[in-house]
Amino acid sequence: MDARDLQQAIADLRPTLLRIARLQLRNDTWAEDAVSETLISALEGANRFGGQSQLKTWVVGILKHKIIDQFRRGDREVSMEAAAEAAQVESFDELYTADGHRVDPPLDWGDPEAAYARVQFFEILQTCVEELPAGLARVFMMREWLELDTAQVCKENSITATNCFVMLHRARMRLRECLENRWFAAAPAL
Amino acid sequence: MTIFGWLRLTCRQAQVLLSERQDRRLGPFETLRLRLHLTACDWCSRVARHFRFISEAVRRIGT
Repeated sequence: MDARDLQQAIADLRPTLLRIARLQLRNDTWAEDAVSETLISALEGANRFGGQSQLKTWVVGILKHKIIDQFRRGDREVSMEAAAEAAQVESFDELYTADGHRVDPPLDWGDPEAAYARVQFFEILQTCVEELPAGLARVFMMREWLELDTAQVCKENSITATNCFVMLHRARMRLRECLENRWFAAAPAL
Repeated sequence: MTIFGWLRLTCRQAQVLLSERQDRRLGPFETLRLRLHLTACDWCSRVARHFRFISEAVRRIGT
């Protein structure tokens, strides 16, 4: 790939990067800023891209750092949102009997890793994350997508470790239900 | 309460620990209670696999 093709390939990633940034930041202005900074860094450093990884993986790696920077710039707003959502009670009572056992069995997802080969699966996964409340999604994505440790996630969101665990549990439960209903129960042909 | 009752977890409690073990190291007593529950409960074992899968799938977003 020559330099011009590489620059074009980087620029072409913009819509994908924007969707990922919105997923994490839940703020269009911040997402635009993070993506713009990512594209500038990638274009400036294009000569350092050695092709050891896929271009998209390399650029998304840059985006992760820009998103963390963006969090730190807007941390007051982020903290208030996460703290407010941490205080909300969500017990998932409908899933359990009075003595704490599940009412219905979760589906057997079979070989879920087969879904990695399907673009549509990632569309649904991203839609499920988008439908989480903003603070919950942010905490979850910081932990699972940015792979920050729990102490950092708590600190960035100014929430206690207990609240952090509760929010992560809520997010996983909601995503599990969402993926089960929209992907695994729909039994797409793999 | 018997020792069995003391070790027993409900599915609701087990699923909280299944999530938390992805974010912190569980204590030995929590680990024992969770293992005992998973040995006997296929439904929670499924949820454990689902949580692990969700983590892995989210990490693949954008790759």
